[in-house]
Order: sequence, then C-alpha cells, then structure tokens
Amino acid sequence: MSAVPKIQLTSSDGAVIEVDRPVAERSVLIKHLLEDLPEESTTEAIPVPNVNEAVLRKVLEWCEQHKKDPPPSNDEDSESRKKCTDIDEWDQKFMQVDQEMLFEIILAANYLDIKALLDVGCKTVANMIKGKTPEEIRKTFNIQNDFTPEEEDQIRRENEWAEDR
Amino acid sequence: MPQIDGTTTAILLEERPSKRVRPSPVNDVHTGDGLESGVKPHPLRIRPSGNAYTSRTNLKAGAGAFQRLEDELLMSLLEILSPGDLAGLGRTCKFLYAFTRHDELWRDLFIRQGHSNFKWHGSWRNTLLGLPQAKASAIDCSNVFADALYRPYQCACINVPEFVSNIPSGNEVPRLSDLSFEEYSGEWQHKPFILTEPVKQWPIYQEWSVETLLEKHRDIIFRAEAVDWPLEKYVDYMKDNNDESPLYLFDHDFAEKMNLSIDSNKTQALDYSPPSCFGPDLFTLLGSDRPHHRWLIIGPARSGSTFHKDPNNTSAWNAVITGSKYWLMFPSSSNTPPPGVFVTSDGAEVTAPLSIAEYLLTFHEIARRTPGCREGICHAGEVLHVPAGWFHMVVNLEDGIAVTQNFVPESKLPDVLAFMRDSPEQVSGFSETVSDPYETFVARLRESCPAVLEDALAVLEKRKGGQGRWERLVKATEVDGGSFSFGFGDDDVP
Repeated sequence: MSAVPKIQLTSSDGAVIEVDRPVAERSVLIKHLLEDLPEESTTEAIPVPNVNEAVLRKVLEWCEQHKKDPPPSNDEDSESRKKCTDIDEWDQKFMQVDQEMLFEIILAANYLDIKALLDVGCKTVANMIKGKTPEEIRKTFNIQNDFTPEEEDQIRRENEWAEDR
Repeated sequence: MPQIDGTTTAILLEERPSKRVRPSPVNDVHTGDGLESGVKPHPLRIRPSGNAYTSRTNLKAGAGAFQRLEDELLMSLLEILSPGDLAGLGRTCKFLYAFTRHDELWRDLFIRQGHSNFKWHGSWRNTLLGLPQAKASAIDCSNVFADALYRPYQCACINVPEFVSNIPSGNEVPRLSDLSFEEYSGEWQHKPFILTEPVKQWPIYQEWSVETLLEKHRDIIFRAEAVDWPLEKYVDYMKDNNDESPLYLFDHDFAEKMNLSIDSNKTQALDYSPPSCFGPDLFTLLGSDRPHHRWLIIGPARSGSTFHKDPNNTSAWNAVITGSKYWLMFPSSSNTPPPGVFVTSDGAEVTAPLSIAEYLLTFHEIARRTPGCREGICHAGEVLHVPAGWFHMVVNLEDGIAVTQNFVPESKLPDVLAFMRDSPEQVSGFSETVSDPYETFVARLRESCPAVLEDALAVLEKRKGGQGRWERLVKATEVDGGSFSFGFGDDDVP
C-alpha cells in the first residue's frame, strides 16, 4: 500500500500546515488548483490567503473527519438541504465554538468551496435563530435596532395581522 | 430604456454588462445615465450595491454578525429558514428586513409547502402570510445597498416590447400567409417562418380568451413549472405578480383535461388541427409510447422559455391564440451556441443566464448582431415554425395563450433517427417501459411505412460514407452527435 500523498498549505498568518492530499481535496478550490498544477509543483506550499491558522486547522479537522464522505450530488441535495436543519452528532460537537469562530468557519468554507461544511455552518446559525424573538436574535448576533418607533409599529401591525388570520 | 439604433449600440454594449459591478457615479440611481430612467424606485427604496460608495450611511453596518457575510452568502443562509424565523429575523433591523423581504425566498417556501388552495395577494410573502397588500409593511430601506435585491426588481421591471422593436431587416423571420406541403417539404422545413392564415380558421382561435377559459375550466388543475394549481389561482397570479421569471403554465394533458377534440376521428368537429403544410407526423406511429408532444401555454408578459433546443431533434410549431410572443433563434448549423449560452462538450447540458430579463439586459444586443440570428414577433392568430435543432428563446410581450406541438416530418426523419441512434443518452420523454426508443421507433416505421424507413436509412448511410471528417466537423451538428438537445426533466417544458 502506497503512502498517502501529502501537501502543504500556508495560512494568511504564515503558518505552514501539512495535510493528506485527499483531506485537503474536500475543498473544491484546492482540488481544482491541484489538478491544474504540474505534479512536481505540488510539493510547494499552497497559499490560503483568506484563512488564518486557527481557522484553517479547524476546517482541516472537519475535512479529516469527513474525508470518506461520498462526493455531493449537485442539484437534488440543495432542495433537501433547505428542508431540514438536522446536523449529525459529530458536526454538532464540532460547531460548539464561539460565534466569531463560527462565522470564520462559514467564510472559510465558502472561500474554499466546501459545500457540506458551509451547510453545517449555515444550519448552525439557523438553529441559533430558531424560535427566538426579534429581541433575542438581536442580542445573540449583536444587531442594532435601527427602526423608528413608527416603523416598529408598522411591522408589529403587519405581524399581528399575519398571526390572526 | 431608450430606443437603440446602430450608432449607439457599441456604447450601450460596453455599459450594460458592467452595470452590476461598477459603482454608480451618482448618488441616486433614478437620476443616472438615462439607461434606468424607466425603472421606478424599488418599493422599499433598496438601491444598487454601487450606490453605497457615495452614501454616508450604509445600514449593513447595523446587522451585527451578519454584516460579515457577502450578500449571496447571506441569501443562501436565509434559504434554510422557516417562514416564522425568516419573519422574526426581518424584525431585528432594516438591513435584515430588506433581505428577508426578498420574494424569491417566500416563493420557495410557498412552493415547498405545496398549497393549491389559497388566496393570491400580489406577492409570495403576502400570500404565504395571508396578508392583503394594503396591510403589508413598507419600511424605507433607502440606505440598504444590494444588487442581490435590486437586480431582480430591475429585471422584473423591464419593458420587453422596447427591447424587441427595431428588428434588423436581415434578422426577420419570414412572414407568409400559408405554405403547401410540397413547399414545406422543400426548402422551408429547414427555416423558421410565421404563417398568418391557418390558425385564424381554428375554432379555439375564435373561442379562447383567459376569460372564456376561466368560465369553463376554473377548477381544472394545470401544471405551471413547479406547481399544480387550479386555473383560477394561476390567472390570479398571472395578473398580479412581480416575479423576475413569472411561473409559466405549460401543460401536456390539456386536451384530456379540457375534453378537446384534436386528433381526427371524423365524427366530431376538431377544435384545432396542425397546419396542413407540416404533413404527417411520424411520431404518431409510436402511439401511446410517444413522448409528450403538445402543450397548452398560458403566461403573463415577461414569461417564456430561455434558450434551448427541442427534444429528440423534433421540429415544432407554436400557435398564438391571444397575446404575442417574441422569438430569438439560431440555426442548427451554427458551430457555437448563442451568445451567453454554454453547452457541455457532449451537448447534454446547457447553461443559460438566470432569466429572460437578464438575457435581454446583457446579451440581446450581441445576439442580434451574431450571424444566423433570426427574430420574429408572432401575433395572435399566427403560428411560428421551429426547425429541428434550432436554438430558441421565447418571451411573451403581453399576457397570452398559445398551443404548441412537436412533430417529426418525413423530410426530417433521417436527422431524428441519427439523433436517437447516436445520442441515446440524450433521448428524452419516453416512458421507462420503452427500453430502446430508437429500436421501437424503427420497428413501428417498418410496420407502417417501410419505404419511408428505407429511404431515411439510405440517406444516413450516404452521409456516413460521403463525408470526410473535416466536412463533418465544419458542417457541424445536423448529422453528427455533439449537438445539444433540451431534455425532458420532471417539468417537461420543451
């Protein structure tokens, strides 16, 4: 059995991280990049300028856990994705991070094109919104209430109408 | 939009596609360079992203953690929220209010819930919430800058007739009163044309309007893309919506549902019959194994079909009963797809811009200057011929009703056989019980008209032998694989 090929990634803050190539290839961005490179130049570290070391290590931890997942089929699962906000147990634990890190993971998953991780991130945020009042949502995400009292009134009346029907 | 003539075309072309990304030099888009002079302000006064550069206030700054997400990413997060959570989030601040009002989010939610009994209230959100338009809130969001919200509105506001006026004379689809079978079987089978006479003889041309159809078929369920709604609901929607791409009623069982008499059985007067010039349709030999081949089409202005080719290399006619349709077409002999359309190398998949409006805004001018381009407006009482293999885009200029049918004329049999034999993976619309559509079709032909089949196979044999690789490459798609065909999905819009 041949050894798993390794590649190196450089984070935005200059850390060089070595990782199994199949793990890094959970990122469609890196996968396509590697496919376009001649074999000999894959020994050079690949810069990931949008992601710092802490976030990149976290993202790679997810990729390691999910390296054997079947590749996503394209259109159909975007529909099923919308239907449920269920997250598997390992991912739930993985996402128990502070909010700063949660949004960093979402941004990194978006940049690196790791759709399944992006989904988990978005679902985690969706679950933080679920069932909360507007005031609770504001507090959770540090949102400023910029409605005038008249506008708040308008929205409240609309909401009452929609609930009463 | 200003009228476009040849002298200003080059300038407009440069300006239009870049409008989405270039910061606008003015503070208010409505006093801009004139291109948008016809666009009313967004109902919530949301403005294009570029306007943020000249504004002192940008409400995105108040959105807390969400301001870190770019607009498209935020939108894909909002797609997974329930109606209640979406509404709740929208009550937190103006920026999120503006985003959660985006009606496509509510359209998805509504369609997923699968309603067919509801009262239409002018938007998907109002309808899902049971909210009459007069009771809906309208908060001023003029310091929210987002193309993701503004662009769909701008697209929904385009005035299609202004785009399709001034058809260059070389592009015009010929207009004829009628053709004979012989004339069609000659040169015309390969060309688009409009016939102005035959449809005017049809009983349904005299009888049908949206109102008369409503009277008779109010509760009949028709398919409109992803929804199956009673006609009454669809007409309510059609008359009062602001969708960028309005749902298009496209139903292949209409003849049965409406109890029409179409296929000649001689005892009953026909409600309509295909124009006689098209002659016998060889796919009728397939009987009940035939793919769906005729559709009732109802849709509002701006609705239509983006670029595609018809399935199985069939030809088609499309007869307008009320309203009018603009057609933009490219020949099957083109080596490249129309501007702005991308086809995979095996021809199996096509990617066109998101909406017809987006295409008109960004690619239309280039398209009409591309060699081979044909354009035509088919009015009520007229029928347009789509030759096999032609790329075409269709858009309604006003609310309207049409009937369309796909067929295989004898003269095109070799091309259809070649397609079915050489690109079996692209053959579509057959029931799963038909394991080999090509062999099935050949068997039916052999039974009913062996001479026609032999002639067609002889033509194919001759083409194979008579052309070198180079000739086939430059002559492109008519004989070889590599041509694209629009397949039947679940919503088999041809």
